[in-house]
Amino acid sequence: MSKAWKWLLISMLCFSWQAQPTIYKTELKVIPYLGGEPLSLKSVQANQSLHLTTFKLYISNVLLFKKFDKELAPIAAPQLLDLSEKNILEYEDENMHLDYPDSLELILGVDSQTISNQMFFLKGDLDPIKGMYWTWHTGYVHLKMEGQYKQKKFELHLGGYQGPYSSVQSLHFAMDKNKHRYELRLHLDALFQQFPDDPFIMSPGRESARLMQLLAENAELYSE
Amino acid sequence: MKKAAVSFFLLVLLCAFNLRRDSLFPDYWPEPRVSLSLDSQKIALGRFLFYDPILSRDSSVSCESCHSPYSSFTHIDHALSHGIDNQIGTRNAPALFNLAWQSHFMWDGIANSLQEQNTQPILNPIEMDGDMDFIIRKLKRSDHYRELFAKAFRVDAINEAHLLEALSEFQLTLISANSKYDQVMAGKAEFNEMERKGYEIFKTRCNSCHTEPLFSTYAFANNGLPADTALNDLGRYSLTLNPKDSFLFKIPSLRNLKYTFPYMHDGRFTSLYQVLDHYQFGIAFSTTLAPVLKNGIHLSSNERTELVAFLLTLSDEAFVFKPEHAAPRN
Repeated sequence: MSKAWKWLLISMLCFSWQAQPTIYKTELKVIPYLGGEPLSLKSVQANQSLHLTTFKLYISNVLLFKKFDKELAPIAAPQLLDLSEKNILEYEDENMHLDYPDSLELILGVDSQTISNQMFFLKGDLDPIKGMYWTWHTGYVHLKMEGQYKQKKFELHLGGYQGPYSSVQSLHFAMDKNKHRYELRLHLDALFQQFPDDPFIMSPGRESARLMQLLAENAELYSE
Repeated sequence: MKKAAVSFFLLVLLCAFNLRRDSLFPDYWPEPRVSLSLDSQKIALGRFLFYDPILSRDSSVSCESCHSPYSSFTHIDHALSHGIDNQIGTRNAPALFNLAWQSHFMWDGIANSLQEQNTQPILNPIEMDGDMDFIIRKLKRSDHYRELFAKAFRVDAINEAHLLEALSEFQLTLISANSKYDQVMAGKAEFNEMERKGYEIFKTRCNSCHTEPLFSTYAFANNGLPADTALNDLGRYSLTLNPKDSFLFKIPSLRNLKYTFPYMHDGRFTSLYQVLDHYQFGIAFSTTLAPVLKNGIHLSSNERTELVAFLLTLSDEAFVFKPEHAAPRN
């Protein structure tokens, strides 16, 4: 092969490589925080006023949008963040393979639409063996926290999707067009500062909805 | 000719009986204590009632709240039952299956029939806190229930006896007999090496109380759990006031253990290995301790793994996800 042909071939390869659009995979991590630190069952045990034995939270309907609410990604399967197994939920599968989306939506908990979706119901992280399935008319527990706080035992099973005390929380965040790595930080400080008088919540109700709302209000999308 | 006709009729009857029996439970099972000739209309009504919170004081708690089909009709992941107004009970809800083979119900055997058992959680102030007259009035106001009761019991049929009967009929259909163990017994599957070894351990160490094929004698026993001083639950003694019954609880079936954690009457153990630890290291001695447990159950690390492998062959996924057991749709 002559030198000219070689150069031509190399040039074509370079051109085709440059012509490929760069599609970054959006990475999303969901991390609960307390006192400015990522929450884990071990770290909390060092805090004398709080001894957390269970923390389980559902994240569902994670959607990425681009350009005037045009949906780009399929819905990811609901995931359960169980601190006894992992401290962070990570989304980096094909559902997040998008080119700089404009906004992110997700649900804290599991809504009735997800439950009626046969692709997800009773499967994967929605398998009732995870201990989060509640009853047929209230669905799943969205957030389960148990332990001791200020030397008092507590069991918060927050859930229910039916009115008037639906505790499903939808979150919507604008995304930075120059970033593709994100952390959803769920700050629990307000929830513990406004802790319920009755520390045993086992069914849908006003307190369940209030606490889930507090969690949603203190969620922050952080980008690197 | 007449003789032949009679013989043919008897043969058809026999076949029909066998077919029906086979479809309900395997032939190596004992006969149930109550008839399984159930009425489909009563079952349908009982199924609606089982899943309907209308049976509780404020229509917030149903039977299913503590007895979810997806956990083999118990609750999972919390030790003690949750009741009305976020109250917490004193015992772990028992799993509901193979009830036709049982003669006493509840952990202490307080109910001698399934219908009697049904009244307990409905009226219990920390479970459903229902009032039977109020419930009947609520049901009579419902077109749906008027129709279902009429179909099951004919006209003007909404009353307490029919309510309890329908609930019982539905619960008697909850037969769990399709685990891998059952498949092996029927010659349709084989244990793997670990399960087979676990089965041998089971037969020598566990079978006297958790007797095959139901995996319980359904008798009462003290299995050496140290008393929980907060609950102070004396078991069957609370009912009989006989000191010999102190700390005696009904022996639960080992079927569907995969779905029924946590374990024991107070849900103190969350894993099967914790249960084995108890039998090996944690038995509290008392005068009523089951004699077979006086020396504990000592197993090597391998034997524990093998035993758990076998116990998991008692999981009946088809039962847990059976559509006929799930919440009905109007």
